[in-house]
Amino acid sequence: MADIFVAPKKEESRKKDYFPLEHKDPGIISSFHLYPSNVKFKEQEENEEVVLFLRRHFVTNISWLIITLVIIALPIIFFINRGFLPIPPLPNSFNIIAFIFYFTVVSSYIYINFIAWYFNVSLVTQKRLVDIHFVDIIYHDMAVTKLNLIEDVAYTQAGFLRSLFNYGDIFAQTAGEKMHFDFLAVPQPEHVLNIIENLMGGDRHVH
Amino acid sequence: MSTNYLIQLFLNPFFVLKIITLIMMFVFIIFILVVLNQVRSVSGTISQPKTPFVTAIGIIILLAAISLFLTSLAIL
Repeated sequence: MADIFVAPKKEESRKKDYFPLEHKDPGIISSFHLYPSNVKFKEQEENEEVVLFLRRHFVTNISWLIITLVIIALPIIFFINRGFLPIPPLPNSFNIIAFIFYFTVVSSYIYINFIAWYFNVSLVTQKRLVDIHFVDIIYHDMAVTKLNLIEDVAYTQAGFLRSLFNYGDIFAQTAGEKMHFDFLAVPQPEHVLNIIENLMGGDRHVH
Repeated sequence: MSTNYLIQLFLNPFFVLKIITLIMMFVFIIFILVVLNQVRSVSGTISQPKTPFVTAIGIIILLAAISLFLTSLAIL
């Protein structure tokens, strides 16, 4: 007799639901990555897996990118209007060196802003939350809290840009030494919140 | 004679400009070295797959600054 309905095997569907997708390297401008490969942090335990890799949304870089465009355009505007400005003539060698030096400084401005974003990383593992702050070029710190010490976790997503690009802040209140644990301007805050709550609830694998 | 020569040298605006340019470049090189040291330190805290690439870009900027400094020393 022909089967009218065949239920899917339970094991297979469970595997599909709970086991992570393939592990991939997070890209250089990636700001939300589930189960990243080749991401490790100091004091990571052997059986501890990074579940979620977060950075500030790439849109938060827009301010310094606009400033960069302006400072790149400045010498062009300067050379076009040079005749109208009261500048004494300089030897060509000075002009060339000044021009190259200016753009070396601009490239370092881009580099510093980029690494300030690139190294500001938040991680969620199966056991802990890890927050690495790269505040400026002479200061960085790392804060870690265990998931079982988290008392309350919430997110806010207020503002036009945040709604448009779907990013917001995650706030975790802990019973540990550091009372507040903030992941600022991270993409998909609701999804991040769900993941943290699921991990706090004891799920080993989330998606 | 040598005192007169020195006074003339220091009053020469191009010489002053050259010294200012060289000092600025030297300070810039030190600054980039501090940044690279910080990058090395943070990459020890968190290891990411693209960090070697980011470090390489920093080294390229540093090498560009050093070669510019040496070029200025020679041609200005």
